[in-house]
Amino acid sequence: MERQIIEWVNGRILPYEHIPFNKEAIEALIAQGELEVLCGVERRANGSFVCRRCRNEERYYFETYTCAACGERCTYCVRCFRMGRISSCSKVVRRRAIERGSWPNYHYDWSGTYSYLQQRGAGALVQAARENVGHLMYAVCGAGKTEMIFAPIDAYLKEGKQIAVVSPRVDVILELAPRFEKVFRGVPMQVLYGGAEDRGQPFHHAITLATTHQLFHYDEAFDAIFVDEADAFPYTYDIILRRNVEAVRKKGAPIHAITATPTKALEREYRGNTTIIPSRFHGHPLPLPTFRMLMRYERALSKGKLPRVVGQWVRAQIDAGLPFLLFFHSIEAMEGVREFVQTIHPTIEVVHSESAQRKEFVQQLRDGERVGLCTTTILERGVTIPKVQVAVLGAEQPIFTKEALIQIGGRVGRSKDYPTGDFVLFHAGWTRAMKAMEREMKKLNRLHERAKEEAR
Amino acid sequence: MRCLLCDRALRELMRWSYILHQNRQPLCETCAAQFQPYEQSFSLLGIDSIVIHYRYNEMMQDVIYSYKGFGHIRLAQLFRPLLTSLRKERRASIVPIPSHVHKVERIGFQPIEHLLQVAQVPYQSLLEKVYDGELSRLSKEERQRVDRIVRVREGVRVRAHCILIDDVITTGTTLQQAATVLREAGAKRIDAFVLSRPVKKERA
Repeated sequence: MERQIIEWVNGRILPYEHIPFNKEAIEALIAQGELEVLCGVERRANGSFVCRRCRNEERYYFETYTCAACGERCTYCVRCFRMGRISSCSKVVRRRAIERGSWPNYHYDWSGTYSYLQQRGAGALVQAARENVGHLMYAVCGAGKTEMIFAPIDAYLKEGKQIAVVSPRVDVILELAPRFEKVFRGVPMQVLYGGAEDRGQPFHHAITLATTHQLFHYDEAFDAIFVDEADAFPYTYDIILRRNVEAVRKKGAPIHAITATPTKALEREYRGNTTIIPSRFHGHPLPLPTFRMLMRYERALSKGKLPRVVGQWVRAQIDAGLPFLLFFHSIEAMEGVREFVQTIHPTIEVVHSESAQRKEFVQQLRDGERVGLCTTTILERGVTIPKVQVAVLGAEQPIFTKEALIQIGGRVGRSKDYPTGDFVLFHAGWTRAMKAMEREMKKLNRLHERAKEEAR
Repeated sequence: MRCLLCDRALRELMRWSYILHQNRQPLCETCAAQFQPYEQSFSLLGIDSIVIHYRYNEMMQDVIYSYKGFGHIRLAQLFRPLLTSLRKERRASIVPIPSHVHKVERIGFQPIEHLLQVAQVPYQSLLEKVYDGELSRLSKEERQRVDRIVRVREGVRVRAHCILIDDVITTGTTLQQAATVLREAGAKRIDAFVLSRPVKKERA
């Protein structure tokens, strides 16, 4: 029984009441120091509160009232109450994950090869793993980032470690899962996301693929964490998610960040521990943007039409038989022209974060069943569509940050046979983001040329 | 300021209209739109009149479950404007339907009483809950077979006119039993003021 309780709490933090075992046995383990008990909501000396489970520290998200049962003032955490209310009078139990020692049935099964630069990237991460230091892999869109983390994960698994690969976006997690299953064989792996949450089974997995929200239940569980797309919303904007990644790793365990568009904060944090991979796996440079000023595009949109030149661009892609993505700055702007674009071609569909079928639509675009998609930034990352041509309508809008524009541009020219394509920005004025994006892409291409020289 | 339910940041315009209406915890347009008024007539034997305000739809279910189930006391603010209309009742006793003492021990407050406190409506805790469990888990027949749901507390004075307050009414069994025991204790007129009731889905 004692073993069962330890396995249940292992690597996790949970409310005392959620441990479905005999109370005496639990208390015995606490007395022995095998389990740690804390106050759910702690009040610090300076008067601020902290929720031990979700690590929230913002006063607004705590509610204090006088408890009718005990007469005391009770404070609970509003952010995570749905996982079971944590208050100043509730207890939470946690236990650092036990060392597994080894994965006896583990077998690494990847037959691919690294390009010169991918080898550099993978090598840097393996070295970082050995030194137990967090590393930033700053690799351009299409560099083959996923393949590059196979080597360091293999290194960790060979040492019997438990690692996590975390992304703010569920699409990424779902895409990684089958690839990981094929490569890392003979080890237990779990995939967690909204709708497929942790159901409390013992934590014994070598690899955990999860969206950042699923980490709330874990505490000092992982020997290393890989954060994919470390700059994507809501990771940078939501400090709680950030704190949770810090809390779920074992003390001193490294956090490796992977992204094509590191923010200034990330670059600062990983200074000295960064590897830049400026080349795409196929060895061709990033396609650079073209800018077309279109001052009155809002007027056309408000009339439910596309501006003339944008319509011309769309028709040109259709005539040339090339799939396209047309990015809009908001769902409203896009829905307003839905009928119009469908008169240009009936297979054009509109995709946004609330489209349940977006995966299917993207696949249909790949298969040639659709000639193009109108989309919001939801498709800015992760999608690969060979031959795709990309245009942005309203590139000066604030939602198009430098990172967003670079990611959008990264959709073009991802396949070996079609390494180039249109990347057109229709805009009503220049922004810093647009200028910065152009500068950065040119810089990366220069680095890429230099790297090509070195490789010779 | 953020929406109390979905935590979205609220636009400036929303803020001012809520301050003017003296709401301290506002809602965003999307969430506010999810509250649907109850527009059927409903009567119950033993109760002189019933007012039901909202449909018990997904939003109400989530709000009530978060409030009574999880104990998210902050949500009481949502119903303040609705309940302040009860302040004008001078002669009648406002009587909240109580939760069982075990639930109060768990969440630390009496849900309906707290709603009235937040709306600054004076009330009389004349009843206490006997049934320790979730009536919502029982079917209509099973509910009507439950012997005692509520009873009058010892030593309280029951006025002639009582208004019962509750969050959800389904079969009305709880309210009927409450009305019965209050009449046995001397009440002459019993009305009910209920936040919500489920509406049957229409078949296509």
